[in-house]
Amino acid sequence: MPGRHKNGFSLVEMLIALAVSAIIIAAAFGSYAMIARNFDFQKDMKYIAQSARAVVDMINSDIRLAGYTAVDNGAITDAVMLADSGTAACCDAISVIYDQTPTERRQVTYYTKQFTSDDTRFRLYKHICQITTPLTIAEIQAGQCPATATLLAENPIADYVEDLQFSGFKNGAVTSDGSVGYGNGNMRWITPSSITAVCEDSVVNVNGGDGALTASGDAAYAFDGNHLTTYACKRTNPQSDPSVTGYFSKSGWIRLSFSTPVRLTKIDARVVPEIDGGTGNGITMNGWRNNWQSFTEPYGKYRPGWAELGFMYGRGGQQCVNTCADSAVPNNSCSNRHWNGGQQCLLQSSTRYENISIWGTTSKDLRNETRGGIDKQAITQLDVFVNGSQVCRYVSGSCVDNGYDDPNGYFEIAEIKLYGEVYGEAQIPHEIETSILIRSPNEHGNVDRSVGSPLTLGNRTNTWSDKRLRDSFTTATVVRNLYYSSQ
Amino acid sequence: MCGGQNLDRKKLRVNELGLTLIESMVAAAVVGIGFVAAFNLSTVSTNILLSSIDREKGSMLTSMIMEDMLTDSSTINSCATTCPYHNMDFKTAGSGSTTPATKQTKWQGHANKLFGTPSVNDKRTIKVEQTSNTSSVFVITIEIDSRDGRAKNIFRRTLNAWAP
Repeated sequence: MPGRHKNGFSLVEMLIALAVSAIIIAAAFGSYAMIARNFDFQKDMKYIAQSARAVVDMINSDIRLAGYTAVDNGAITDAVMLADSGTAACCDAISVIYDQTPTERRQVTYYTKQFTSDDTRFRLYKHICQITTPLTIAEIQAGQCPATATLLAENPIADYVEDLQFSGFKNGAVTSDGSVGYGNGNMRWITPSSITAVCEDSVVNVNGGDGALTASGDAAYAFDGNHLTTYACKRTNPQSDPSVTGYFSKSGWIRLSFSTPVRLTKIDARVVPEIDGGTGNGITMNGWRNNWQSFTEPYGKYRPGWAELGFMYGRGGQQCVNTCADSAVPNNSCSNRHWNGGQQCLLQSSTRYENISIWGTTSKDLRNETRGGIDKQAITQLDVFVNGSQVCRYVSGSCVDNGYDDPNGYFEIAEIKLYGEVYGEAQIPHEIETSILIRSPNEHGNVDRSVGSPLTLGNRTNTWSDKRLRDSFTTATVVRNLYYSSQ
Repeated sequence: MCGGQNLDRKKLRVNELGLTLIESMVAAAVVGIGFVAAFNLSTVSTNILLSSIDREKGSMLTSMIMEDMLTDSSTINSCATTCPYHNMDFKTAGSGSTTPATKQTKWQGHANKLFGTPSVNDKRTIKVEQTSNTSSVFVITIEIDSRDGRAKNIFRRTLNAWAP
């Protein structure tokens, strides 16, 4: 019975089936290829975004800690350091310093290194040193940690970094190089580069006092941070500057020089009536002025509890530069705040001064002064006149006169501290802006991708034309410890 | 014999296992829809990823804006009455040299860099609202759109306007 079970395909059926199968396979293959391309694209885009997020989060967390000082540890002077790579080379670097524990001060540095022979492939490294003194970024990039420090870690934290830019901001503007100008410097305590005095009398036990004073006389003692060493000048010792007339004509005086221009905004000063013993209801202004009847002898008997200082600038050809423009000074007009109404620092012909009455420990905010205008001038020299120095006169154990001006006594100042804006050094930023450009490890597609318009991050402009993917990310963080301590 | 021939034809018809033209067209359509769905799935997932990255960038830009505001807390404190940051539209640069205007220009530049020049439907706005009449805590709402308004990213954070 041949032909009874003819169940096979005819040639035409086979050809049609093959054609349909081929179409389906081709579609499936095309679909797979496209999905695979998309997967690779997504994988690399995800890689770029994840790397950027991880890096930025890590850097920001360290920036937030910058300047943190454990109790009793020395101040951190270089909490944030930036190294600019310029406009041509990759990439900037940043270094932050903070106390990880009371015994471990860390310097954390982020910088890039070229990887392999590909001069466009950079790896970002996190480098941690335990330090005693700050290292420069160049020192860290040149080698591990120098002998003065201990290397704790150095690890790559991102690859294919094409640009990394750090920009420092302060008061809403990019940090300056420290040129003289209101707001361009760093606010901090100021140490004079030289201290000379025309009247110094070394005496430990003034008028017979026998307290804990350890040294006296040298003017530098008033700026050494130790209140048990004092600057002293005998009242009968004539001052040697006949050009000074009037109130400060009988003063001893100190000339302070600064290595770079400074603008003073605050002066703290202190006398030490308590050193020889007795009590004065605390070392406060009111303690001397109003509560003197409750003093117990010998509080303020030998050492003055009140003194007056005059801070003069513009004397003897001293150079000073007006730092302010009216619009730059919040809530104040320069012209209203200068002695004689002038905005310029007049040399020789008209010295300016701020005078400060010291009662125990006194802090003077110069920004609220309307006379001297010292807080508007960048100066490199300042004369400090000491005038008026009063002790307490005791009768039968009771202070009967706290305005007693002993003609044989001494002017005596325990401490003078100057605070203000220092110029001539890179400004310490309060906010760090971080920008990063990362490329994909792999090429994608057959057509070069080029940036539409050059991408500028920080001070560097990026262009490219190849088959790799790229993306940039930018954020900013306030350096909390520096910002709040400056307010 | 005729009856036998009829039986064979019936048997033959019952054993015809091939597909009709309509059946095969329906099957082809189903397969085609499957392929289109797979294509779309891939495209949609790519778009979702790109939107997610935009959101990531928006979050970073928002962090920058919040940190910038933190250093101008005295102005934020005045937001109980007048507030230069409230309803700020940083699609455009700031006007003038005040701190808020300077910052607006900065934010506009960064937003353009990250998301491109905004289209008509892209919003880039800031709202500052005091949490209560006497509070120095403010709620900052920042909207950053991209892709002509299709990718909406709204970030909300609180800021304690500590006044030094």
